[in-house]
Amino acid sequence: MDTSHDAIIATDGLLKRYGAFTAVDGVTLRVDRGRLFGLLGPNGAGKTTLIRMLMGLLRPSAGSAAIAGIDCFAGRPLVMRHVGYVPDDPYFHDYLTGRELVRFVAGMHGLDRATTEARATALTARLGLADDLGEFAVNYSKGMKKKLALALALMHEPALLILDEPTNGLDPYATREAMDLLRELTARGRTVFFSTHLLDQVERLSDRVAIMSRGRIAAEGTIAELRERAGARSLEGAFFAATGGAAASADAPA
Amino acid sequence: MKPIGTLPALLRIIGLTLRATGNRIVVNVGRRRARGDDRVRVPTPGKRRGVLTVLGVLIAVGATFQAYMLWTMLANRVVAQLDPLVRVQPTVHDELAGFAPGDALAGSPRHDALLRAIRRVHLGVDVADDTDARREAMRARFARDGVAGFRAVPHRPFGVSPPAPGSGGDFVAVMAVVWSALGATLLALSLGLGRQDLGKVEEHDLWLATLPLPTRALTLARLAGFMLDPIAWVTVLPLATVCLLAAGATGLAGTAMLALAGAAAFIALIAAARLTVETLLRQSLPAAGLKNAQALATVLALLLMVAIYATAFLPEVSALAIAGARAAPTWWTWCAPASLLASVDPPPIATIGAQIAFAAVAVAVALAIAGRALARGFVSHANPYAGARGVRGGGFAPLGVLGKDLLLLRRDRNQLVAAVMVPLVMVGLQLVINRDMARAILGDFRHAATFAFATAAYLLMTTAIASLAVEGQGLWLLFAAPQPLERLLARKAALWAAVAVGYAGIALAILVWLVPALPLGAISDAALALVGAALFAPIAVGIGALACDPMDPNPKRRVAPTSVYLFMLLAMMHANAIYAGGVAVRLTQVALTSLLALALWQKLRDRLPYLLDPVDAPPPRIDVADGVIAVLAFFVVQSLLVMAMTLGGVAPAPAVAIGYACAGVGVSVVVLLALRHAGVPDLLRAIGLRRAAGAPSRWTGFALGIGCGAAAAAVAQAWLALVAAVPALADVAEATASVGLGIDDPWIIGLLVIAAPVCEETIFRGLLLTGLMRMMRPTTAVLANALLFALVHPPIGAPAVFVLGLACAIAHRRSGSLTAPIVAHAIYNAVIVALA
Repeated sequence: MDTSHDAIIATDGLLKRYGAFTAVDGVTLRVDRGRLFGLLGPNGAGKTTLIRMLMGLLRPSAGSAAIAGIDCFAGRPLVMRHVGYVPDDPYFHDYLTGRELVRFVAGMHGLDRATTEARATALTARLGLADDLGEFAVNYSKGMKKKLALALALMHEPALLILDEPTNGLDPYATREAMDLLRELTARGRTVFFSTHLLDQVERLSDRVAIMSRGRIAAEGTIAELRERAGARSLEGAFFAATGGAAASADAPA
Repeated sequence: MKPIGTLPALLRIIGLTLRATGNRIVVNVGRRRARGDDRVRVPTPGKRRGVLTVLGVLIAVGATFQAYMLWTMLANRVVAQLDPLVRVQPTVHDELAGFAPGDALAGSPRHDALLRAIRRVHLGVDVADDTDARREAMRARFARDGVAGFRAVPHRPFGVSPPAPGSGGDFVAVMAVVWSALGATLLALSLGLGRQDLGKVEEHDLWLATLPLPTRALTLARLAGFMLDPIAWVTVLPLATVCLLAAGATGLAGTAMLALAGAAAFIALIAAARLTVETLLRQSLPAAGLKNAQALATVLALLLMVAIYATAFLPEVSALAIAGARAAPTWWTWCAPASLLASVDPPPIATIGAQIAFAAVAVAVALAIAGRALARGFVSHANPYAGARGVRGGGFAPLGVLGKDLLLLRRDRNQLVAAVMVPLVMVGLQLVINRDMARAILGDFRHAATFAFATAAYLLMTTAIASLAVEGQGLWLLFAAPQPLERLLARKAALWAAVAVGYAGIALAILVWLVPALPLGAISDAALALVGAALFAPIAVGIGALACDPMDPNPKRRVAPTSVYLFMLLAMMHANAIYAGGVAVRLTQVALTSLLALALWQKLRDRLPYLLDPVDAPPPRIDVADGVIAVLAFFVVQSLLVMAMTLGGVAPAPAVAIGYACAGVGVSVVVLLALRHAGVPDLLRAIGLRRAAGAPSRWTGFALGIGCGAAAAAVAQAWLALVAAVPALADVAEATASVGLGIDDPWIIGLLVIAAPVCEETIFRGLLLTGLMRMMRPTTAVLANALLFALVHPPIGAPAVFVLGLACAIAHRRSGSLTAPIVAHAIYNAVIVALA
């Protein structure tokens, strides 16, 4: 392991309560720069709530979350300079085309016109969106919306990319393409933090995994470490061991 | 398995909607959580929207009352115009009976006395328009027919007078026109206004359509939803009541029941019409065509509304309506059966029966059409934006948040028409068609200024209020941007302020061009209108953003109607200031409006980071808004107390002193208790009633207070000397300073020297200055605080009070406690009392 990595994401005892229900329950997590970090967990484990706190959209009920050393909630605008975000189900305004959205987001990041066009051309060509940029984004299929959101998130070349269920809705071709792109990004020193409940994806993609269950980090480490610790032959075995078995995962809070 | 029947399905759908509404109310208003699941997300007190609910109810009541007044005015005007005789109050009729027709001729010894009586006729009855022409017509009438040309009409409890014998049929015919116009307005409004997209099917409807329910149940549920339209109830119920009263209904409970039944039948009719029109439009038009149809409906609705208002306010227009009603075929009445409520026979019960039958037929027709349409799918074109491939966005300037908004506005034709075209159409219409209005505007420049401001306010009401709501579920794009949301909203407010000032400016320019010679005061009128247009942009953005729910999937619900009414109310207050005259009143109004904008903006800035958090709200702190509320409450309570005491026989001077002190104590205690209840941490220290750690000692504060108070008192003494020396000022002082002199009762002096400083300092320095300090530089905050303090005192002493405000604010900032300003204020008051 390269010890020169410093943490880009650091949370400490992060907790979020919705009334009597605790969605995220004391998560302490450290993600080093340059990693492809997978957040794994059954439905309702608190993955999306955790990501929303990292995005500064929710205020932690207790504990803290920082990205690049800046508090996620108090310093949200500053944090967003370092972060690109792809939501699970990206929604776009009714009357804007893909190209207009790209320019809008680039403008919000203060990019000049030449840079915007250069990056947009490269990114959309890479994602196979180039021909559809003149179309209203609401007309896109779910996969195309996801790709557009990915392009938007990468326009300002952020140090950290946060993705909520990134391949949800993508066809096998697009999934492979997206995974290649994510790997390429980490190879160039960027960090990717993504949530998913698809085990095979994590297995193929990430070099470090945290398994969340009922709001807590049940296990964390490389895939090999997790398998070893659980005494399981596959990541699936490690997952069930960490989340309390197949029966428990079925009745996890929705 | 047997499929569910229509009625059970309908009941289940309605039950589901009621349950959802009930849960929302329980969570937002009550302290209990919704029944059942203990994992329900219960918002913190700061996140509840109970206040909005209460405000919404109050506004609905107010709007109903306003509609009632409008319909009463319209009905009375029509009744008077249909009456061949002139309608007067019985007392006036008796008085007129004492005159002879000859007295109406010039030169008669009792001519002047008769004219005075006729003048009183005018003020007393419902034939409005106190113009010389009408008075002359009445004099001529008396000369011709004597008292026989006049009818005594006794005052009716609810202000609606019945038609004269023989004109009942015509009245019903006119009411048929009015009901038709109202129905058309409501229909056009429901199709056009609001940010709905006819081409889009709501998720909820799509979901219901996947269940094995009878089509008829789905359509009926939709119809039931349409019937809940608050605008319809608020306008239809009063009109039904007015019609019943005109027909001679008396019993309160009976009238209310009949009015409710009549209104329900009419609203069902409108709902059926809406469903039919909507279905037909969806089936026959592509997305772009639907948007055009909506835009058309918007313009139509606004034109109809203007027509209805004009009928109530302008005799020429109501005469036109009467002529139209007389020319219309008799079956027309049956197209708006609600008008029969105004008829004496058949009795109302039979009328309502007919109405219900009529509505039932309409509903059946709507169901049949919608059912046939539904069998072919929800909309004819699967995607509302289909066919848009190849839209060119090229050649566009950098697309920031403003560029995006303008682009969206340009593409959403309905919104564009409602926001940008309608004000222009209205301006043109007023000047072309409505001669009276044009004449009035040209005659008095204050009307012109009000008109210009109203145009700007309308624009803001349709655009700026929705600044946050337009983002909808696309809000995540803004949250992913490296800028505070409030800065983006501020940019939007600046844009709309510029457009609003531009609109007001154009309106003013046209009017200035039309008026031959402008009075000097016109500059101040115009300035007030333009400043108002600019200031109300941030107010509109603030109110809209605080009350909206941008994530609501239903675009119609994203902007809370409450915020629109609240904005209208505030805009009306500003418009009143244009008529109030007086530089001091105008400056105060501008200052209060600015303060309101500041207070709203501060709340917004505090709340925006929590916008997407379903449970958390910003920690309670002292806001400018708290200070503003305290100041306003202080003045209302104080003036009420003074009025009550003066009525009770207390002399004015002690009444003012006692009123100030009691209002000050009461309001500060209530506000402090409210803030404590809200959970402001370390409240007493925050406002300076308890010494903060590290603050100068109490004695330092005392010394500082004595110094500041002495300095302010010296300035006040100099000012009083100046006032006495300059004759013009002395006259003003003479006129205004009668109150407050001649105080010798020791305990009133005690109130002035001790109680008043404590309360006023708590409100002005403890709350207002603390709130202001949070959002501006200290110097600006201190100056603004002193300015406000001076503005709410009598103008003649304002310069001295301004200095006192400065001294107290500085003392508060320097010592970090309220002791210093209280001491300063007490010394100042003591010196003033001693001088008096």
